[in-house]
Formats: sequence, C-alpha cells, structure tokens
Amino acid sequence: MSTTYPGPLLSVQDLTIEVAGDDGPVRLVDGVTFEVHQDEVFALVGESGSGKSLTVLAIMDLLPPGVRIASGRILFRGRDLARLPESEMRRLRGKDLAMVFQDPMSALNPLQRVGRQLAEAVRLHASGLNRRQTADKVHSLLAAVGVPDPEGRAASYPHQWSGGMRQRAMIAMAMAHDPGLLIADEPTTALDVTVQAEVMDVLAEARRRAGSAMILITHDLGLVAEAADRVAVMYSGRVVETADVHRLFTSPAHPYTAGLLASILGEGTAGGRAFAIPGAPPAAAERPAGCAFQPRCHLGSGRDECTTARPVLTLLPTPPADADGPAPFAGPAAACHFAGESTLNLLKGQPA
Amino acid sequence: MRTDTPAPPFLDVLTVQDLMVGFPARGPLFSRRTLKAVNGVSLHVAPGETLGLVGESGCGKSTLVRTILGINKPTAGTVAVGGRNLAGLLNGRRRQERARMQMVFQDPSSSLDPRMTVHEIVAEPLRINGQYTAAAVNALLEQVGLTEAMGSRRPSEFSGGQRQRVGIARALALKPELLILDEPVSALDVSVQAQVINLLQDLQAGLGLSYLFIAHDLSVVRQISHRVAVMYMGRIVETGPVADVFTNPQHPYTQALLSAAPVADPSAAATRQRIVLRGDLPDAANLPSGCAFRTRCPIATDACAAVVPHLLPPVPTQADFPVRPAHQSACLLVHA
Repeated sequence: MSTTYPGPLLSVQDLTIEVAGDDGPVRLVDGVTFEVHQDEVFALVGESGSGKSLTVLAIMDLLPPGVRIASGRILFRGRDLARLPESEMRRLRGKDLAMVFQDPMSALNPLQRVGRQLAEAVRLHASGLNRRQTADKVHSLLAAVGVPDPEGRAASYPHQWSGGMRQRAMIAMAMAHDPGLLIADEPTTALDVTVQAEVMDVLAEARRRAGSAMILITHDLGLVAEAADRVAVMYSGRVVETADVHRLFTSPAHPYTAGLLASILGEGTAGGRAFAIPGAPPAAAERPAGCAFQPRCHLGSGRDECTTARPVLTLLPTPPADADGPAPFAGPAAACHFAGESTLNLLKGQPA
Repeated sequence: MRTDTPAPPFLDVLTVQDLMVGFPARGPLFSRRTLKAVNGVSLHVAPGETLGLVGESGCGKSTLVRTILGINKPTAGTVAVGGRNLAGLLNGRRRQERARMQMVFQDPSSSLDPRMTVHEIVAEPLRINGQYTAAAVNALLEQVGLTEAMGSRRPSEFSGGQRQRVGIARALALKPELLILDEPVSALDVSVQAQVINLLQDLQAGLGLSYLFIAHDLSVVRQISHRVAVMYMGRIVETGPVADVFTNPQHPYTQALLSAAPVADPSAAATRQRIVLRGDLPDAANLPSGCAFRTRCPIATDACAAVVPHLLPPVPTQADFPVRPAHQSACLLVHA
C-alpha cells in the first residue's frame, strides 16, 4: 500500500504536447487539465487522435521520439514528472506508476518465457529477492489474476497463451509492486466480448487489492459506464468535459459528449436511424479557430463566439442535492460557450 | 429491431448448405488431424435482407466468408448464388456469378491502394469488366456521399469514415445483389460508425441489396440486421429474427455473449447479471465430443458430451416465452 499524499494523487495541469510539423510545431495535446484521486477510476474518453494516449504516455515519460511536452505540469504526489530526470523516472515507472497496454502480444517479448518477463519486472524494483523468492512472487502474481497452473504457465511462451490470458499476465506485471497509479490504455479492445468482461473484472479486483487508482483509456462508453467513477472527454487534443460518471451520462453539458451518447446503439435505435455526429474530427494541424468542435456542432452554427473564441474548461453549476451519487472531487466542467444548452433528449429526437 | 420485412424470398440471393471446410493440422507423432474451421454451416440470405453473423475470433467466420467467395474450397457442402451452385459452373461463368456478391473489408486504409486516386479505385472493377465511364464512377461516389471532386484525391487524404465510403462505392460498382461486409465499422470511431451504418441502410432501401454483415459488436449487428446467426467453433448455434434472438436468447452461448456486452448506463452497471464463461476456446483441431461449447457451458450435463446438437425449432410447449419457429438453437438442454 502506498503512502497517502494529502493532495490529489495525480494532477495534470495545462499539459501541452507538440510535434514538429512543416509549418512549426503542431499541438497534439493542447492545455489538458485533470486530477486523479486516491482509489478512483478515472476514464479518459475520446476518439482516435484526440490525444488521450499521448496524455498518458507523457505521464509515463514514454512519448515517442520527436513528440515532446511543450508546457504544463504533471504532479504525481506533488512531484512534477515532466521535470524529473530520467533516473528518477525509472525509479517510479513500473513501481508507483504502471501501465497496461492495448495489445498484450506486442507488449510481451515473444522469445522469452512469460515467467522470465514477469521476474524481470519483479526484480527491477526488488533486487534483494533471490531466484526462489522471485519465482514465488511471479507465481503468486499470476495466480492473483486468475491464471490457472501458474508454475506451468510461467514456463511457456507468449504465443502459447490466449489473448485474454496474455492480458492477465500484463496486469500481473503491472501490479507487481502495488502501483499507486495504474494506467490502462484500451486494455480490452483487442479481446472478444466474453473475454473482455473477465479481464475487466480481473483488473478491478487487482486494483482494489493494491489500492491503486486507475486511469482507464477507452473509446467504449459501455466500459466507462461500468468501470469509471469520473470521466474526462477529450476532443481534438483538449478536455471538453469532465464530470462524475452518473452526471456525464444523464446530463452531458458539452454538445460533443451529448452527440457521443446519442450515437450509442441499443434496443431503442435498432432497425431505425442511428444518430450520427456529422463530419469527422479535424487533424491537429488543421484545427479551426475558436472551438475545434464547432464545424460539427448543432449548437455552434451561426454563433460568432464559437468561431472566434476558444472555450475554456469552466465549472458547471452543480445540480441541487444529488445525495446518492459519489461525492465529486472536482466539480463538473465543460469547455463550451453554450454548455448545458445541448440536452440528450433534443439530439435523440432529431436523428441526422 | 427492423420491422420492415423484406420482400417474400422467391429465390435466396445466397444459400449455403451443410458447408464443411477443413484444413490439415499436425497431430501428435505423424498423425494427421483435420482442423474443421467450418463444420456443417447452412444459411441463406433473402433479397433485401441483412443477415448478421456474430461470433468471437476463431469461430470460423472468416473461413466461412472466404469459402463463400471461392477463396477456400469446401470439403463438403455447397454455396449457391441466386439458386445456382457455384461448384458446378465453368470458370468464366463462375466468375460472372460471383460478381453478384462483393466484399467490403474491415480496414479501409489497408484495403485501398494508397497510390491510386479514389476515382481510379472505384473505376477498377468497371475497367476490368469493360464498363468504365467517368460518369458511372462519379455516380457511385455520389451514391455513397462523396463528391466528384474528391475522386482526384488519394485515400490518405480522407478520414476513416470517408475511406470506408470509398470501399463501399467500389463494392457497388458492378451492381451486386449481395454485399459481404466484414466488420465494416469496427475500425471507425464511435461518432462516425453511425454515419456508415445509416449509409448502408439507405443503400439497401434504395437498391434492394442483401447484406451478410459480420461483426463482433452486438449493438451494431442489432442495429442493421433483420436476422442473426451466432457461430461457435465452426457451427451456427442459434439463428432467428434479430429481435427474438436479442430479447429471448435460447442457447447458453448466446446468453453469455449478450450478457457480457457492456451497457452504457452507469446506474444499470451495478445490478447487471453477467454469465461468465470458464476457460478458453477449445483447440479447433481437437474439438470436444458432442457439443463443442460444453467445456465452457455453465449448464452442460454428461449428455452434452455424447450427442452433437443440431439447430432445431423451439419446443412448442415453452409457454412463458413463445419462441417463433424461425428462431432455432442447437442445444440439447433447450430441447430437452
């Protein structure tokens, strides 16, 4: 169990990530701010290219070559990870900060037995363990994520494991040192639906046991609804809305969130028209002035603010006495000049 | 659920009968085994109808599609297009018949040639068949919601949704009766998926197309299908009108599949009953005896190891949930 820090576990402040482009640097992530608290599951939702993966790679200091943090702070238990020397970062990564990737096959070394790869992760931050102790730890880690016959499985190679079992091994590896913060980037996207359900259960259980907070990156709103406490919705490099999961699903304030929720297919829409947000997200280098969502927005047409001024994330009025819901750590906020005008019902009534 | 019932099927566009597809697999010490990827599948698609095919990876969906298209040869059984058995035709004629079905692939960025313009990509099937005119290509582009001007650009300049539109336009070029759509929206973002699904529904209504729609996302299948077939280890374990299968699943595998799909409602998440399947898929080269699902089935009995269950219409005496005759499942216990 990690020591408690009085402030938020993780506080990302005005994070901007750039890559060099033909006409100067391109902002892939543009002023992202959010907090993750002890014990909570924080979902980062967005479409491909929205910047959600880069944001967490920046937290892990694993940004691809050429992509760099241009400004902002990443405070983990009060220390700014963006300014930490690599040697310090190496001490945190895999110990206090751990990550589970989307595709376990490419995250595992195909030429090494799974047990050996786990042993490496174990010894990285516990060099005092001898062979026997390390092996025992590996077997207990595998057993904890529901891998049958851990001793036998540890001696086999990744290709001998099914996709679901491989992802369990990745979770076991991430949990090796009971990290304070676990980052799961689309952990079940490569898996079949019945396996996905199992792996999400394993992840939740492992997290609870270790007392880790989790950032869950996904594009699947179903998973968000089932697993998350709070949510941030990203669009074109920015956080456009953040709220606790109940509020987000019942009264989305940003028209993009409302559009995403309206486009969920279900019993009600089956056979009829599906709601679709028109158009596609802009490329990072071609973001329009003002609000990036404006060209696709049902609220923004013909309104000057939307094309001239960039909306900032602003606290929303909290609804009266929402006693049942979990106490929100930070108030719900949206980045829209006309936040709240967009109601879900309005969208559902007028299919595109 | 789609209520607009398709025109009465005089002749099915696609009829697959008792199809078996096997591959040689190596067994222990010189023994030879056969991996039965498709193990006795029968299905049909009526004019103007969408049949959704659901199943997890390794269930044989892709082999089934490849065999329907003639890429793999069946070990037994037949594939008939418009009532004509493809195996009995001469090569030229078979090609002609096969043009009545076209394929739309999952990943539009790898199925479109990056060096060709969109116009050329859509023109290619027309050129091969000596039917090319620029006007025909432009009309196809317009049909899928693209413009003539976009034809001069290359796939890399398009978004994922637009690229999939190009793939659909190319598939429509030879005026097929049936589109085989293999996970056509699963590579697309949520907000764009619905655009493509709506387009497919419009095209079906306008052109009377039939679809064989393969997807792992159950909500997408439910959205677009009239009927649905659920596959497990090379067999269809349940089939029927989409509303019937989704609201009243009979086979324990279908029930588990439906219960595992996440529901986008945080207040329902806590109370949801999920059927968790034990273990992994069995080895396709060494299937369990009897019902292939029994090793993971929550309700299997000893009898399940002895008999291979066949697709059967419902037992008429099941009173509380009337199951319609077209809704069939392959489970001994359902029919016990």
